[in-house]
Amino acid sequence: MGNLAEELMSQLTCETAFTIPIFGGIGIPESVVATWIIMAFLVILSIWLTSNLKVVPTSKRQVFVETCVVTLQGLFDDILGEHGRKYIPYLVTVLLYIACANLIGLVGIKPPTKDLNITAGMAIMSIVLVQFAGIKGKGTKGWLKSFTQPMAIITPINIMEVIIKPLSLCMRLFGNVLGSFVVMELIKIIVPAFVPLVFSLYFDIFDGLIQAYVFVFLTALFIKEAME
Amino acid sequence: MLTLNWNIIWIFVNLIVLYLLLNKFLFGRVQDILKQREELINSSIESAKANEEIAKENVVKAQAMVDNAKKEAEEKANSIIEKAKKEEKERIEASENEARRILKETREIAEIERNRILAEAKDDMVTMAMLTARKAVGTMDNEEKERELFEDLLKKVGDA
Repeated sequence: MGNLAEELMSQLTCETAFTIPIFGGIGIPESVVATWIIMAFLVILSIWLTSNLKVVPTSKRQVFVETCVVTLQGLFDDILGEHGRKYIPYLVTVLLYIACANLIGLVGIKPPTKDLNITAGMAIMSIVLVQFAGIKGKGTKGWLKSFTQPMAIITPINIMEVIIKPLSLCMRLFGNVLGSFVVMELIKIIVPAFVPLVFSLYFDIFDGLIQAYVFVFLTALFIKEAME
Repeated sequence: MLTLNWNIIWIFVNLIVLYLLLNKFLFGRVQDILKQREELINSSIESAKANEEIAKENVVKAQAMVDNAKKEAEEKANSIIEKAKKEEKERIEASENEARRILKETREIAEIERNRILAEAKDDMVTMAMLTARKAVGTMDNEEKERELFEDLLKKVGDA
């Protein structure tokens, strides 16, 4: 059991992959390297999929990429409406990134979403975007006024929400990834063969994708709420 | 594990870079091509509408031409029929005139012939009367005078 705890801790610790020898050495964590791998994968895939696009599609590749993009954008189109449409590319980017980050464990790389810095960073970016959308949608005055809505007495709660929203986003994603990882490790210890495969389908693939969707879905809802 | 530190900056940079790259290589390109396609479809629809308008106009023109042609044909047919009727009437009139003329000529000829026969008969009767009178009287002094007398007699008889 002690071994298990140690093993889990080592899996969960985000180690420094390498150090850039400038400014007295900048440590690059594993999660950042994994992020770079995901970024490279997504960008190369995008360039390959969108090369040689034609106005009248002739290749299945083009039909595939168009369907993917339109479907992904369609997920948020109804929520955000016309005014929020400009935020959709960012949301889809985050969706793709989190989905890849949660699934990257399948190829043996430690998922970057297991690093709290990553989920917290994304949550902070989301909330910055939400507040930006609020300011842009209502104007600075309207945005400040919205803290006193629907009545002045709940202003402290509204201000706390600015912290609570990203915290919940961050912790939900992190907790799910962490939880499913721990559960999977325990299952692997109890039944090493076959059964982990079945559970992996749920914990690694389904849950990973669901959490990616939930993260951006909530961000989209917050943006919509902030704009109204 | 649960440690927050300055490494959080990496995800800001990475996500923004990833967003910019995907925006350029994925969303930008796909949106671009979708927009072009929309324009193509819109222009196709517009040109189809324009063609439809032209086709409608052509149909109207063709209909007008057909109507015109029908009218002309009717007029022509009517004029031909009228002309034919007129010609027929003229022919009939000409035939009637001809018949009348022939009838008149025939009557005139018949009248002349009758008169001639009458004159001959008169002449014969005068001669016969003269011969009869001469046989009765037995002489003939002046044949001219006798004839005049008989003719005068005949005339009186005829008048009576």
